[in-house]
Amino acid sequence: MDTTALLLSRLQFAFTISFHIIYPSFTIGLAAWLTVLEGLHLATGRPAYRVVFEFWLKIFGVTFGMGVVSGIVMAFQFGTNWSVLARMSGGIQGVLLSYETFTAFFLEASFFGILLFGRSRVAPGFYLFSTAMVALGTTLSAFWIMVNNSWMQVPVGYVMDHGVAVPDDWAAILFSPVLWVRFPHMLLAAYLTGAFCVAATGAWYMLRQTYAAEARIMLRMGLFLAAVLVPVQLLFGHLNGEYVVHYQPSKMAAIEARWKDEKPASEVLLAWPDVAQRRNLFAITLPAPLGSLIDSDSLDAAEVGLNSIPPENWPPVVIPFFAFRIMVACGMAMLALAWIGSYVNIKRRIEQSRLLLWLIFLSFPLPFIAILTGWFTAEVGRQPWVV
Amino acid sequence: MRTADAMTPFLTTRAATISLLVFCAVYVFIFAFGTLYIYRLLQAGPVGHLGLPLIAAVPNRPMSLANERPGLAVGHHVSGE
Repeated sequence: MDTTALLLSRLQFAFTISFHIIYPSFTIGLAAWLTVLEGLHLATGRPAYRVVFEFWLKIFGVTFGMGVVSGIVMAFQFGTNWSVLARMSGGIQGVLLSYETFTAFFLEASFFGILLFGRSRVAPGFYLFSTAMVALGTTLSAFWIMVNNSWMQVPVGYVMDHGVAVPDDWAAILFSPVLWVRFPHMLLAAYLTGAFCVAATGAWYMLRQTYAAEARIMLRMGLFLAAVLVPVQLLFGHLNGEYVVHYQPSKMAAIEARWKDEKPASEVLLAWPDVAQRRNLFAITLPAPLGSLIDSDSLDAAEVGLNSIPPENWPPVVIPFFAFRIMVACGMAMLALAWIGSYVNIKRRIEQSRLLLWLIFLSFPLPFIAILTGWFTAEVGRQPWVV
Repeated sequence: MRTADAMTPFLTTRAATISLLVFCAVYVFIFAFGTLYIYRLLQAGPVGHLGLPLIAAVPNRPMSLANERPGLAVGHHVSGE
């Protein structure tokens, strides 16, 4: 076995999948927003909604194309670089990927054509229906991928037969409790990405004092959606942590840079984990029982440390530790921006507060960074296991 | 299953290096142009030609959506802006 080839294969998969996730996370949110816009346009007849719709539809089209291109080549790597995995889990993962094609891609492909070229060819109601179907397609695509990844994180509903995972309970796979906290977490992340990109564009136009009516719609709807969804997202993030504590204690220990078993546990806020010496340098630590409270909702829960896990089963510590903290920091910054922005907007002062507009304009990378670091935490923290 | 055991056993370093480099080159190429397209769309901003279909766009060349401004004649390229 060639360890350099292994490293390069992992790099390649990490590179393609990181590049890919940027685009779907944007289009899933955007598709849902386009549906709302088209519905509002039909209901109110206001032309500004239609103008905004046409504008974002074009951007959706380009982003969607790049998402598809980067996604398709990714799956080939299961055959070329990870064939042993494909042989073992193809009965489950291959089936799930075909479901994605059958349900999501077919819906998207059929109705996206109507969206782009059918405005003057179909009835307005059917056009709205087509928009909703594209949005449903993107959501279904995310669903099947999350089923797939959740099964890799916490495999359920299968039996091993001569080294091959044979599914024996699809209901268990589709209703895995892990999936139903991870799928909403990803979906909300996508909606927030859409919301922040739209709000940032609105803020940009407002700063340049162009397209005032459209900019106001973008800013108002983007900020409002974010203000509602960020707290829900934080809740689902917390629920995600609970499944990690339960099913993947080594990942949790790495995220928290916790070396010894603690009961009740303290919480390392910031540090430089020194893996060789099994300790944290420059640590800022919150006292017990805050660690137990954050990880297990309890004042006296015991939390596992890395010392009680054999080192050959450790994930890398530094990457999940920092990726997780960057994700949370992005989430907090988005919460502050969404709430302050919505408040100032309700007070009708947002067009005068140029500093706030600048901050909102510059905030568009935040959801992307949060999604990438969140996935780094999930995937690097799962190592050394692939399933 | 460990990640190390999941890899194709006969994959050579040379093959993995070449494919990684090709992936990087193709992705950079595609995504540089994609980002440029999106930036141009954002620069152009929403245009209020209501009632007009996107006449510059033709279904057999979907990316023409991003290329032309609505209202411009088909094939009339505005470059260098």
